[in-house]
Amino acid sequence: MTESRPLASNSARVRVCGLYAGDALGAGGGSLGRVWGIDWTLGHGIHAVIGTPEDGTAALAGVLTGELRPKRGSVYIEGVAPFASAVCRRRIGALLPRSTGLGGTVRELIALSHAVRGGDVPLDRLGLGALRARRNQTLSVPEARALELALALATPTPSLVVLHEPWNGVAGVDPIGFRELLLERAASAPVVVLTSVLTEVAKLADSVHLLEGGRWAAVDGGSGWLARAAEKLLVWLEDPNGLVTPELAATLSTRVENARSVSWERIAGPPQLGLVAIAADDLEAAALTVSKVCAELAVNVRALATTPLERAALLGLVRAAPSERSP
Amino acid sequence: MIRAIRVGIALGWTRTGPRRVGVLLGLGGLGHAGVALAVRSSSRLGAPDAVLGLAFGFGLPLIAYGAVATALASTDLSSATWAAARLGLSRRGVAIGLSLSAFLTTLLVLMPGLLIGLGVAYGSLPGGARDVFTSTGLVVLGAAAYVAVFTLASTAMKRGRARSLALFLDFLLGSGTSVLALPFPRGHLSSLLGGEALATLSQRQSSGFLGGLAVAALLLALGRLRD
Repeated sequence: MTESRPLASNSARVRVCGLYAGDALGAGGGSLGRVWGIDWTLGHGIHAVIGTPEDGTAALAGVLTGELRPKRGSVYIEGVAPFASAVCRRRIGALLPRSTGLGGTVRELIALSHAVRGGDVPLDRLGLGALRARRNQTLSVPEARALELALALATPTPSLVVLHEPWNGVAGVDPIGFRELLLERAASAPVVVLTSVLTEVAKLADSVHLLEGGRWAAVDGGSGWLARAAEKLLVWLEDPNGLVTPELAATLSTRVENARSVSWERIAGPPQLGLVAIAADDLEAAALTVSKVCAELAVNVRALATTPLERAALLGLVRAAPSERSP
Repeated sequence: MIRAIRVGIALGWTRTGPRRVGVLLGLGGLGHAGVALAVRSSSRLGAPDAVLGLAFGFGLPLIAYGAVATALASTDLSSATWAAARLGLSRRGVAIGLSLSAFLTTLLVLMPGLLIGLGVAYGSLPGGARDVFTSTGLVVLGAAAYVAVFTLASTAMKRGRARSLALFLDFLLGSGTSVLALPFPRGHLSSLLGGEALATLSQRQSSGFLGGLAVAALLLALGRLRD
């Protein structure tokens, strides 16, 4: 199930202007990835950044959380630069590429987080309750990252949550609990997810940015593709005469609950195919309705799929429409 | 701030680890005792000077360098504080804690070896207790100065590599008696141990300079950090 959470345009919490920054993940402390000329304004919601550390995702995560100082440009969270303010960082949840474990036990770390930032670390909701009795230094890297994910989601009223690859190299996290927490935090704060796991992005993100070589290569809407808000159910029909497709589209627009749009087009080729695209909040329910209506109209369905948000496809779209790229 | 300092000390101690300290402690004791025994066999009166020379000429700078590098996880000062600063603790507070941890580690590793060395060197000779008292004060002052200088150097260059440069310059320039040696603890410590005066400074002035160097270097290092 998905839910619609439109972004409030006047609730910008994070402002990034002309950002140039590099991470410190390269050999000898040099930069593995950099970002150039990034301008970004964020309100609440889940904002996905697709890319790899080489594209600058780690650098972007570092400057957003205050770990790294921008080389040029600025990052302000509610008007304060996170690198220069401990008070600002208290309300930022961060899961970064490198694990930064403290000593002592997990219980002590949780108590410290609670004392400094308030809020409870949601270990149990994430299925990580067993970590509580462990010592930090005995945690494996995926376990330490899972603990950092829990710490990142602990702030009760965050100003920003930044999660770098939360679906990679993180051990034992309950996906349902994680998703619920993500949506809860995103209801009131910007949640930036930097990832290369596109299937999760397609389910969750309110906006998607493609980071390529340190620059925005594409921003949703700007290159003809969108994130969850415009995920669609695609239905290919056998329609030699071109008559069934418009009729089916019209029927579906009234029968599919919460349908945001239903469009159709004829596809040339032997045999002739028709394509109906449905944007709806609940694509699974839409698919059931489609199968019922098709059975009623005796229409032969050749294929049925949701729009995949694949990197190759995104790049294809970006390259196919260079004039539509966003800055 | 107090919480940040406390967390910084704990973080530094976690990174250093009791096992490493134990090994260095053993090596320090054996080294100093070995030098004392070796020199004592040829010149009984020269043995204490040899032990002090080893402790202040090599032991103190190298141990302080190692303690700072370990407490900072071999990276720069800002990055070293991130583990705690990400929770919203002050970077400066954490940095003070890390420096304190390095300072305590230096004392912990050096002092027992020095005391054993002086004990072996003096044996039944008079003046041992006075030398131990003086040396203890100098170790505290010298450790503070070295740790502060290395902490300041850790704010420069990638991964704080200026730390190694500071150690190298201390050996190279600090051994002299010209004004070039003023910013380095080595010349001042040598003067306080009875060596040649550094740039016409009296021992009292060198002592004050060393304390001032420790405070100034730490403040400069903290000034290079943001909150």
